[in-house]
Amino acid sequence: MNQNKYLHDMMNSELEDIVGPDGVSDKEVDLDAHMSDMWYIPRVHIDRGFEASKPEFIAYPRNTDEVSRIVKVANRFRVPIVPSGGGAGDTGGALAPYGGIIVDVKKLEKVLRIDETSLTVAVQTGILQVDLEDLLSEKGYTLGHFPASFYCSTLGGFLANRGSGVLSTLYGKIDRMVLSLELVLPTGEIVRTPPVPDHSTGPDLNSLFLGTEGTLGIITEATLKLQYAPEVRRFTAFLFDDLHRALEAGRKIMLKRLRPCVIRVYDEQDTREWVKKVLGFERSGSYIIVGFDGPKEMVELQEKLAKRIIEEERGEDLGTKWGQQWWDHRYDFYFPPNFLESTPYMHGVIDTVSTFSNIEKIYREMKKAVEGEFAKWDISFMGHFSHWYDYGAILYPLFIVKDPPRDPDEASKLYNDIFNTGVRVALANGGLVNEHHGIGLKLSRFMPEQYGLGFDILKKIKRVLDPNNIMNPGKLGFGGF
Amino acid sequence: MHIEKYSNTIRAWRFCPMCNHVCPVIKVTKNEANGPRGLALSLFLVSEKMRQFDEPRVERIYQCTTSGICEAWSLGDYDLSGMVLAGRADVVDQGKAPPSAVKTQKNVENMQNPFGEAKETRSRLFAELTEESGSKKKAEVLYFMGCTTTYRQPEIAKASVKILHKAGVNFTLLEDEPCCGAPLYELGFREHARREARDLSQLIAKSGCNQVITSCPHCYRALKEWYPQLGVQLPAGVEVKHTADYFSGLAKDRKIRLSKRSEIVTYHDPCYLGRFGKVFEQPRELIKEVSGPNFKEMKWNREKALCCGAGGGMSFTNPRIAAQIEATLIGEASKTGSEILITACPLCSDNLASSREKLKFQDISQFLADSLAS
Repeated sequence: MNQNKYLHDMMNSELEDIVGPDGVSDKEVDLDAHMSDMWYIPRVHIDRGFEASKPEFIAYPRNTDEVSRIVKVANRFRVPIVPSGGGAGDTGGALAPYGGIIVDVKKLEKVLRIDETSLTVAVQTGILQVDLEDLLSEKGYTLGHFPASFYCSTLGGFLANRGSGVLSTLYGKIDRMVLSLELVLPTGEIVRTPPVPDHSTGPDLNSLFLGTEGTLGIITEATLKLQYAPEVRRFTAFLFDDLHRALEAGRKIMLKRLRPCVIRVYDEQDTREWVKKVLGFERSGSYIIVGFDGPKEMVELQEKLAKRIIEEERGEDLGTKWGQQWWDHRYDFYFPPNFLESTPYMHGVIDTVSTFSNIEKIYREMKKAVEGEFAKWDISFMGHFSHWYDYGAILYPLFIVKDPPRDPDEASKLYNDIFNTGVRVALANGGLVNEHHGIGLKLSRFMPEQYGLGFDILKKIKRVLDPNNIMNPGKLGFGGF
Repeated sequence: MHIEKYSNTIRAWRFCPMCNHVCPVIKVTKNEANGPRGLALSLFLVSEKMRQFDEPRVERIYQCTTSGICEAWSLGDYDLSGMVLAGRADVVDQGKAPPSAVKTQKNVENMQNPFGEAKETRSRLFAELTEESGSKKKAEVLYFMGCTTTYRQPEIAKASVKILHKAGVNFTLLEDEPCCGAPLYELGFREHARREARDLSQLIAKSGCNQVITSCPHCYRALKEWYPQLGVQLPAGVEVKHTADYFSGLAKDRKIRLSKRSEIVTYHDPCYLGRFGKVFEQPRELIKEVSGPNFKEMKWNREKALCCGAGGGMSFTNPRIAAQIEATLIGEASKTGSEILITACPLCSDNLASSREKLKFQDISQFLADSLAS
């Protein structure tokens, strides 16, 4: 008997013992479904008829204990573990480049407790965000987390990548909503962080695990802050002659400490192409959405103050119709035929975040560098600024190459070269490698550049917590398997 | 291959997870291979000759209710359920249909119904239904019961005939009613479906009817949509209607009168009647005439109505998954506080009837027959 086959069968048997025969699969058709996410590189290989990497098994645990036992099996067999939710990432973070076991957490989908006094919810992390928000809205609450992947991502995916929703300007990134976590460590132990994060009982343990993309464990449960569903939520659209004035208006709204739920500033090209295509708005300039939600009186007052700032920056008030149009159709950008992954194009988002002092400069430098270096590919570069903080904003730049190389290796090289250029412009000007999509495999190479010696600290933590390096190897800049 | 016609859908969806959240099967199994993306990718790999139709891949292709709910949520002109049906036709062409599908096909071949039930059951029902008025060879309206009604939900046929009598409709039934071919088409047996379609088309011609009405959305879709695709034309001038639509006309023409009832009720749109047949309002109008404000909509209705789990041949090939899907629908219906869940499909009724829930299930014909004013 082939030794690998023997080990495979042994592992299969042990996994079945944990999750039952329906809870594990090594069938090619099931493994194929985990060959790709939204990241360009596996997609272009599959599209061109090449194989992409696959796990050896997919396991579907039903509770935290089963997750723990699966991780222990992986340690004994020394095989990689890759946590997976909705498979909607665009960094390869939930792919299995070194094989092993994909732990699909979607059966961990229970809402465990809603504390209506403290307005918190304890929930398992395999739940789809749409299902969680639907359930909360039936009770008059909201999490306030509405990312582009609202329909297809799990809570665990957001926590592992520190994701942002379109209303993050008010509600915060997902990590700002967390009170406590339960997770399975890379060696299989189950850990719970303290019940609330705002204390001086040492460091915040949540922060050690949030954003670690499954490299330091599998988050199985989270207790999150809730909000009452707002009495009023209203979006107004404005048009500026140029991007600079639009950004200035956004900056001043934030620095005056108004609390918009959204500011979304599209550059002139994004306005001309995507806003026109999806929302049907046909004028030129820089299109922006400003939204407020909460009690009616507070919304009205904040709108009044925001409009005063926008008028000073010479923005034209397009009214709530175009603002509502965006809210009603915000997910239309991500369904075929608008969904760029449905096209033969190469595209990517080099999202970054920085202070108000730097963010416009990063945009202009990145656009100049990418359009200049890759002019022969007739590359287009456009962007919007869609999540705002007290100190700065994110840039969400999209590049598109409509006629990429046929050869998948050449196409991959071009794709990586574009990211090298774009990300390094961000790093050189006070930006970060990424804002809310995560690092995964796609951006792993930039982690030492981003953190310098700080990355050595992260590597040491990884070595201590994951001595066999089985947890999602190769991601987040950590070593491969 | 049949799937070549769907290459646009396959290419658009092979990497897109956006409709997985409404796929009734992946909601139960959590297996990415069951969702629209997983199925499109699987068929892409087959079409590119990177994969064969091996047994597990075939199993996944048959684990789809073809509810069309993914299409209802998507934008653009994509036919995901058509893609799956085409995939099954390719599987059958390669002689790789799963045993449960082959058994269903053999049942139609040998017993003229997908359940493999004795023909006498149909004969007895026919005799019972024609006892009052006698059997006519020719009539303006042909009531086509369909196999699921006949063998699993005969009360639907009895209720429908009661309504037709009450309205004084000149109707007939087929003494040797064959299978319409819908289950064959849904399971990929297109050549066999074509033969059944031809046979039924000839019987319809002999009946001299100008309207065929049926209680079954699957028969309805076959006659309206799949027969032309199979190259089978119904006799010129023959119109096909679902009974919910037809009864709505009878009520509007005051040929039936309905009395008021006080139970709280809700209505489930069968996938093939609603999303594919666009018959949404007629059953609601009828129910509202009886129940008025006691009719409560489920959160997801009309184009975005949930699936009961039984369609697309799932009741034959994957009854366990079908039953799990049904539980979600019952949960949604229960949230309305209803005492009766009304539907308009014998397959839905049959699937729901297996539930142990306290909720009462009725086909619209039964609900109306119980509500006829004297």
